[in-house]
Formats: sequence, C-alpha cells, structure tokens
Amino acid sequence: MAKKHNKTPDEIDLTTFEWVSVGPTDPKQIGQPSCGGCHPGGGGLEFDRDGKRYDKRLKSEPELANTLDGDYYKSKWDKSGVVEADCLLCHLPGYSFQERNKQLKMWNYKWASTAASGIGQVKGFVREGQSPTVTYNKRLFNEDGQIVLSITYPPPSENCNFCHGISDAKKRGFSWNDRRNHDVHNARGLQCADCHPAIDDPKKGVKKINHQFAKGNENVSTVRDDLDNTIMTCRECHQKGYMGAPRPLHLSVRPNHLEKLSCEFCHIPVLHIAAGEGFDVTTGQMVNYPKFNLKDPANSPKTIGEYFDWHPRYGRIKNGLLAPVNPLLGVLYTNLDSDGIYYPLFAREIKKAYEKIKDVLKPSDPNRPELHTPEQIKLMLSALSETLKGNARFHQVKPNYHKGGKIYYLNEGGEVVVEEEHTWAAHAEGFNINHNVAPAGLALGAKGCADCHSSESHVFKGQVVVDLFGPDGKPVTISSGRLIGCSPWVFALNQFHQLYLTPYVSIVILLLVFALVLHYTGQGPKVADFYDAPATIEWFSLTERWVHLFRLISFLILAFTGYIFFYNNVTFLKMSFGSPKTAVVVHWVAGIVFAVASVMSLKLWVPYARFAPYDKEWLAKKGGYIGGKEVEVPAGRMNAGQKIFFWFTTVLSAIMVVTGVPLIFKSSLPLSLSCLLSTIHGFFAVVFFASVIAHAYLGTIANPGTWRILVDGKVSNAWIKKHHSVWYKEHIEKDEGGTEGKSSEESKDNSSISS
Amino acid sequence: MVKLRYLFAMKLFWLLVAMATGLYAKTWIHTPFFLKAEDGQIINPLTGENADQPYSSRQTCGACHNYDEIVKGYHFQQGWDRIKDNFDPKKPWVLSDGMMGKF
Repeated sequence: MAKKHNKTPDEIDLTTFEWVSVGPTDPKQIGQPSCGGCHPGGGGLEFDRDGKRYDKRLKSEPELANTLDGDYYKSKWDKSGVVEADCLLCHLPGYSFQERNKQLKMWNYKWASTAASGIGQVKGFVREGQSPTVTYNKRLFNEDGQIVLSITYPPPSENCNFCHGISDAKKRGFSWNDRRNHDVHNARGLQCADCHPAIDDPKKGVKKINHQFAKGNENVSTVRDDLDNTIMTCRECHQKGYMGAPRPLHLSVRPNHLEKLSCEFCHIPVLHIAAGEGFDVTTGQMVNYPKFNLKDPANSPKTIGEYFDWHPRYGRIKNGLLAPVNPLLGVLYTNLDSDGIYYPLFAREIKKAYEKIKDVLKPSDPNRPELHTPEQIKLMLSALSETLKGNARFHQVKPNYHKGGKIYYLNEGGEVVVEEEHTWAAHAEGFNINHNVAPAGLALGAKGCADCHSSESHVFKGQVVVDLFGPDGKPVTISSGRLIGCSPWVFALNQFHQLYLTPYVSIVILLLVFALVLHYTGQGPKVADFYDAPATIEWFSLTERWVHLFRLISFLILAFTGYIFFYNNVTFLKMSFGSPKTAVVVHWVAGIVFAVASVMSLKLWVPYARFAPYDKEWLAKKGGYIGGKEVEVPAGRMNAGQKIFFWFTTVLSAIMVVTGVPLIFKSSLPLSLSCLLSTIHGFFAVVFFASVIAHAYLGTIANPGTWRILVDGKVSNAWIKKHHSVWYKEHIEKDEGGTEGKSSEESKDNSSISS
Repeated sequence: MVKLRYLFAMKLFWLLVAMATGLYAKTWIHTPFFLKAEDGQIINPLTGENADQPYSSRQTCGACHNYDEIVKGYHFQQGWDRIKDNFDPKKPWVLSDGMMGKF
C-alpha cells in the first residue's frame, strides 16, 4: 500500500484504488479475490485518508489523479465509484463471491454488491471504458417495489469462508464444512459466529453493532491486537460446558503437559488439506508452494487446498505454550538502504530483474526458478543491482536474497556472501493452527504416551521443512523435536525409556521375585527358628524404628505413585488420587519425607556401616545364603550385605533426590534437562524398587524373627548370636558371659545401637 | 379439550416439519424494504424509477441500521482507522497494523 504522501512515482507500489482491484483478470482467475475482494467495503474502500469520499472528491478535484497522492495517483474513482460496506457479502446466503471479485477487478466498484447478490445483472466494465448498466431481478420485488430477501443473522459459515477459506487454507490448512478435513465442532453443528460473536464490551469501548468479532491471538499477523483473547478459550468452553461442550478429565495426561502444551497441540494432530509450505517472489509474482510430501516427493500436492495429510510443526506462541503452527517460509528480496533498513522490494522491481536474466538462468519451470546455487543467486542479485540503479526510493543499492533462514548478498568483489538471517524477514513463529480439531479419540495421547514419545511419532522425529530449496535444490528439513528444544541425544534417551525401560520393567521385577522364590524353596530360610525365642534385647531403638518406618512408608507411596506415572495407569490414578495433580503432589510430599528420613538414617547407621576385615569372610561365604547348607558367617551390627545395601540405597536415594527435586520445577526446566532427569529418575527408581524387594525378602521370610525389629525393636540373644556373631562376642559374651535371660531393661545398656 | 390436543398436535407437527426442513435455522425473510441509490432515491424496478442505478448499502441498509457504527468494525477498517505514513519508523513501508497498510 502506497503512502499518502510520496516524493517520486518509484515510491508508489499499490495505490488504494489499485489495492481494491489488483490481480489477474483472465477468465480463469478473475473470480479469485483481489485485496479488495476480501474487504467488505466501507472504511478505506469508501473514504480516503483525509476522510473524504473518493468518488466525490475526485470529481471535484480531478487533478488529484495526476499527483503522487497514494489514494488518487492514476485512479478512476470518479468512474468506478466506491465500495460501500457490502452487508450482503456476509448476510446473504447464496451470495456470489466470484461475481464480486470479477466486478471489483473490472473497476465496477459501486456495482459489485448489486451483481454479486443476484439482485440485478450488471453489464459493462469501467476498466474497459464502459458505463455499466443494471437490470434488476423483478421477481425479488413486491408489487410496491420493495425487495424481499432471505437474510441470515448471524452470517452463515459459508460466507465467512469466502475469504477465510482461502487465506487460512494457505496459512494453516484450514477448511470448514469439509468432511475430510473435519472439525469436531463443525461436526457438532457449530457455526463461525458461535465462537466468534460480535463483542459487546463497554470496557473496550465496543458495542455489538460495531461488528468487532471475538478473536484469539494470532501469532504472526497483527489484527486488532487490542481485541486479542476476546474469544472464549477451549478451556473456558469445556469447563463451563458452553453449548454442551464435554468436560475433559485428562486423567492420563501428565499435569506438566497440560501446563506446557496448548489444547491444539494434542487435538490437532494432523491436517488434511495442503497449506502453504512457503512462497517465492523471484518472478515478481507470489508463487505459492503447497505442503511438500517429503516421503514421496512425486506425489506432493499441486495446489493449496488439495487433500493431503500433513502434521504441523510446533512452536511457542504468544502465551508461552507449545502449539501447532505453520511458518509459511518466504523467499524474499530486500534492499539495504543507507539508513540501515532492509526494504522489501516491490513485485515490479523484482520482476524487472528476473525478466533480464530469465533466458540466462533457463529454469526448468520459468514460473518457479527456485534459485539455490551461488551462481543463480549471484545472477539475480547482480541483475537487481543493475535494475535498481536510479530507483529514486533508495539512497544506495544493496539487494539481498532471503531464503531458508539465510541472507545472501554481493560483496565488494561481486561475490555472493551468505549469513544467518538477522532481519525482519526471519520470522519463524508460524501461523497458529487452531481449527480442524480432531475428535478426542484421535488426539495425541489417546492411545498412550507413544503417540508422541516414539520414533514413529511426528512430534519429535517428524521432519519439517526449513528451506524450500537447499544447496541441492531439494527441501532442507529438520526434526520437529529439535525445533522444540529436544536434541537428538535427549530423544535417544527418551526412546530408551519408552522402548526398553517401560515395557521390560515388569518382567525384570517378576523375574526377581521368581528368583527369590527359587531361593526360598531351594536354599530356604536360615534354619534357626527364632519365633519362639524370647526377645529381650532392643536391637533397634524407637528413633531407628521410626526412621525406618517413615522411610518404608514414604518409599511405598513413592513406588505406587511412581508406578502410576511410569505406566500412566489411569485406573489406579482414579481409584487412589482422583486427579494426576493430586498424585504428583503426593509423590512430591512422599519424596521430601523420604529424603529427610534418608538423611536421618545416615546419621543413625553410618557408624555401623563401615566395612571391617571380617566382612571379607561374610562375602566369601556369600552370607550363608547360597550353597544349600548352613554356614556361620561373621558380622558386626550390620553384616557385609547390609552394609552394601545401606551404601547402595544411600547412593540411590541421593540420585533420586538430586534428579527428583528439580523435577518438581519441571515446567521451568529446559526440555533436554527435564528429559534427562526424568529418564535417570525412572531408571534408578526401578533399580531401587528391585533392591528393596530383595531387602524385604531377606528381612522377613529369609531370616525368621527379623521382622520383630520393626515392631518392638527387640530380638533374642540367639538371633543376635546367629546373625551378628562379632557384635555378639564384643558386646554380650564379654559381659558376664552373655545376656541371655536378661530383661530388655538390662540389655539396653549393652545395645550399641541405641547407645 | 379435544381441540386443545388437536392444536398442540398441529403445533408439534409443524415444529417438526420446520426443524426437518431447516426452516428453524437462522435465515429468515427480511422485512420488505426499498432499495436506494447513492443519492438516497428509491429504486423501483417495477416502475423503472432509478432502475438503472446500482443500489447503495449506505442508503439502503443505513436507512434502518446504523451504518457508521457498523463500519467501525475491523473487517471494514482493516487498519484504515489507524493508517499513517509514519506508523512504524523501523519498517517505513508498514502504514498500519491491519491488512490495509500492513504490506
């Protein structure tokens, strides 16, 4: 759009008059919209930038057409008339959008609504120097001359789609009333105006009659940003049950996923019509590239809007959430002027240069030159350097070619220099994809975590185009995961979790239990039966028992909640906690209790966990647990096996705390770190759980009578003599030849555990 | 009593017919109105009065609806109500934040 005030014709791209009608006028394309086609009239199509009506002003000041006024330069407003707000474009079912476009392109501005609404036929075109005539359809009129029309309020979706069906198909693969590119809301009968009603908000100074429609927050474009988020969000509708919207529980979805991902991320997993992959303006025309079929390039869609399944790219939108987007990669040209600003070149300026080198380039398709080699780029930039000379809108000529995140220009020696894109042309945010919502059963996650966390899923491993034509002329791609901050090694780690850890953990645990059963039935428990022996010595003090109890209970809670997370077990989740958030909080609290109890256990048991020379014998004899016969093994207050278990679980506890505490703040962590910590946490949780099962076996049925330590802390002399012979000799035997028969009160002093 | 039941049954029948045929959608026949030309004159194709003129929505729709309030909407302005030559000094070619002037 040209400025109002211009110093030279070179500055003028499209005047307001041209803006209304720009576009091809051949019979095939005349029905496609010009810029004005998707402008319903009124505003800038009726009044100039001074607030005066174009047609009347040009009639009274015809010299304006010869000035450099951006509203009037070479215009014919006096003959075309103006485009008043066309109410019927939106409110009349059966309105002919193609006819409107035709009338506008042929400069029949004030006749466009009459013709497109079908009220009358219009013959003659201003563009061809004619004075159009009207023949009204008399069948629409009553005898008194009043017209009778079927008007729709609010507007039917079909009419909204005149414009949005074209522009949003290109931007984001949008279509409506399209069974193949379906939308669950559309399938439920919702119309555009159900979600985008007229805003009536005195705080914003907007009345319903102002025709301001509720909107979200477009990621790339600026469209009345002051009205952003006036639409009801997915969450609002589905929590309130607006228009019968079901309330989702999302029990199988991790809470942090709900915090980090937009609803659209999971609920728009695939689009079914080709959006634009990008566009190239090298020929001076906007040449659109529909989505590439990367797996089968020969079967790529030929046009935007063609049926084609594609997965969106993911990007962070204005509210910080990850959402499906379509970047629409641009191949653009600018000129770096002396003020340091990269000015986009006008289509005519690019076309002039391209025409000059077209025959030298000899592209296989002249309409798609796809410049990608240094030689081709040099040729085009050199041509631009020449054709831009003398262009009065620039103070210096330094043309640039922008493609695939790179900027190409010629150095002093006339050679091509490539740099990473650093200008406004770099926009990589992508247009939000927020329609064509899939039914819940087709959403990502409906079939489990593998919907995203597997090598088959597009979310991490899918390839997205970042350059329409790379150095070899083919599209350059990158994995979707890398774009959202997941590096390949993190993905490999995550794959280990998904492919090996999760499926085989149950088998490993079952095998362990089976091995213990084999041990019990083969080796059997330590033969001495202490159930009937009098427990007279307090082996575990109350503090020790409580610390052990807290550690045990918190561990069980951690294991149970961890199991739910590990397998996303919704049944247990619903049964036990009601919501994922509650389960997570319980896991956190249990983790903190476990960490504190672990620290206390260190204080209590480190003195007894130091290795002693006699531990070698215990280890050599494998603690008497293997071999099929009873052997005497020396042990202090802790035997060598217990010491190993103690230090092993101490290290495991430290790992769990170090990896677990940061995960409480998972939403603030980088994706790579979060993934790494989760995998380590999950892996060692399994190791920990297996260790504790073995520990429980040895502390109960494998060593009868031991369990009493956890109840009253007391054991018999015989038990101590059997299991902790060294300690027995050092602390009991030397005192009056043993403590057998002493009361617990008497034995307290001898118990080095509590003293 | 019988008459009431009959009336209720008829009402229900026509309601169902209306729903089935889509008449219960939001389309309705607008009250008949005169088309008006740019100068506000009535267009009457049956009498030939101004019948060579295209209709003007400002004059026709605006006769009952507040045309000037309606066109304040973004769809009609598309940035025109904010357009100015120095809208964005960093991108001097951008004259507004709407489709009219953004490029």
